[in-house]
Amino acid sequence: MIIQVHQLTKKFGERTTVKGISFALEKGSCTALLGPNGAGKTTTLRMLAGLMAPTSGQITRLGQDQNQGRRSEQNQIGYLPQHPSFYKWMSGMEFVVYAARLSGMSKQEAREEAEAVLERVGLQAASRRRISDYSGGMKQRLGLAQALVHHPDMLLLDEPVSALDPVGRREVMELLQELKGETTILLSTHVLHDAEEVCDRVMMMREGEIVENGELSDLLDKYSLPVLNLQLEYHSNPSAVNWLRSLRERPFVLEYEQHGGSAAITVSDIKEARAVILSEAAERHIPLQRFEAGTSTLEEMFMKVVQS
Amino acid sequence: MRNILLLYSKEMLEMGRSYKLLWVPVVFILLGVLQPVMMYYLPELLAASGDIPPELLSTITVPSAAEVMAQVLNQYNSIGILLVVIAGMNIVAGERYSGTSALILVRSVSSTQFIVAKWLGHITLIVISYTLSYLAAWYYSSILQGSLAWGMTLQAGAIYLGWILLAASIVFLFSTVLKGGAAALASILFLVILSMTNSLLPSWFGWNPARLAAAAMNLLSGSGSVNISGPLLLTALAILLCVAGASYIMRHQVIQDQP
Repeated sequence: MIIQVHQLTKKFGERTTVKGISFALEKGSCTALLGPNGAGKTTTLRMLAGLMAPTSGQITRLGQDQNQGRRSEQNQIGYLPQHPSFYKWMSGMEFVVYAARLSGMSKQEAREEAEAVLERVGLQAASRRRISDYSGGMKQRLGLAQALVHHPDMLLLDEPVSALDPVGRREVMELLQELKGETTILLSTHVLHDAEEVCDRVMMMREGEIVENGELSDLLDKYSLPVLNLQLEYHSNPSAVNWLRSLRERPFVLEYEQHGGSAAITVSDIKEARAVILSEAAERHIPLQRFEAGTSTLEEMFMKVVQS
Repeated sequence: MRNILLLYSKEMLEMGRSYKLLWVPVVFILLGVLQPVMMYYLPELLAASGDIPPELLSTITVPSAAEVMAQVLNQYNSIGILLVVIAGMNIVAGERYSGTSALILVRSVSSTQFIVAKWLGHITLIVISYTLSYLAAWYYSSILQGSLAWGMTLQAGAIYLGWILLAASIVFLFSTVLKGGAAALASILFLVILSMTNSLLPSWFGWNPARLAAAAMNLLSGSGSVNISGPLLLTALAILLCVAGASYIMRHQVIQDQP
């Protein structure tokens, strides 16, 4: 366990942006913080980064309570804001070295680490240029570089890929894949596909509350629709169609709907149903054209959670 | 300490790259030199304009070097202070509102270190500008108006520095709370009130830091010395309070991480 959050609350005047959320992050895990705009994701990340004092609640890191503002142990955090801003008069290299030195590295060490991390994010060619000349995507990479340079054991990334083009996004996702395991990552994102790709845990927020929190695979199971869709080849032999019709009588079937050679079957236990149907279909040489066990995607789950 | 040094060298580098380390001293020096030069050429300028009767011209006396130096301080009191305020109004606000401070403060940098380094940077700029300007004014008036007593001129310059440093620290404090323009306005208002209470009700508030400015000018123009230990003490205390206050405010503020 690297961080534990207990009843974290943030109020802005009358409005409560984060409503007493509690969660814990395991060491080396990658967690995606999902939720619609205004759900409180950024506020949560900023409280974790220590840039904003919580109205109430505790953030405990590595056994230490550090509720009282910023302290030195936050050295171990790497933070990338959604739209990072830099000293535009510095070069990318200068900024990363400066950041590394402020995190306690010596001049020599900072220089070496900065060079390595700039290469890792693909900025080595532009490292001597002034940041004022950087494009949006380059600034995002520089933001990632400054978050990584001091080898933090926790990375807080607010929308790390939303400002990047598809190539840049691909590269950053691969970088995050590499980092996973050595670092604990908490990233907020709108791009559900990306979350699915790198993260093994998902936390969904809605109106300041955590509505779902768990292993991505568990949540996908939980929100998968228990529906099987089957379709036979056209001009199938009558025995195949009869078999299809006979499925209606199975104990696990709740609802059955058939149109010609295709059927939509709502079942009580999708695992059992799938096993039975596939093995029977194989035995009887049923000419299946399409078989779909209704697992929902993260996107469907997101819509369901957010709209419920 | 190490962090303060790192942050401070960044401040100096930034001031160098933005030419602030150049233009603020240059403007300050011009302001200091202008007075002795003006006073030197004043009779000729008036004569050249031709409309002034010779009788009046002969009544204009050339001021002494010490008087000119007092006038220089008077210039600092208006335009000089304005310069200090303009140079400092964005010093913290700039970083707070642009979001650059967020990437620094998530590291092992405390708000106090951040504030102290920034204050030191600003003070360095102001001390350099003021000292060069005062020395230049001293040089010109000793050439153009006659020699100046070393001890007295040095003392007056040092006393006035106290007032300049207070002005710089007040702007600094306000720039932690308010955005640039508002910070400038608030600090000018505050400094004007201090000066006004000193000149209108001199006996009412004996420890008024504005008394330092008045005392320095009095010392030069020879109109008697004032006991300034009270104002000096209060000024030092006020400067400390400004830095402590700025650091307290910074710690309890929400740090913006984007513009």
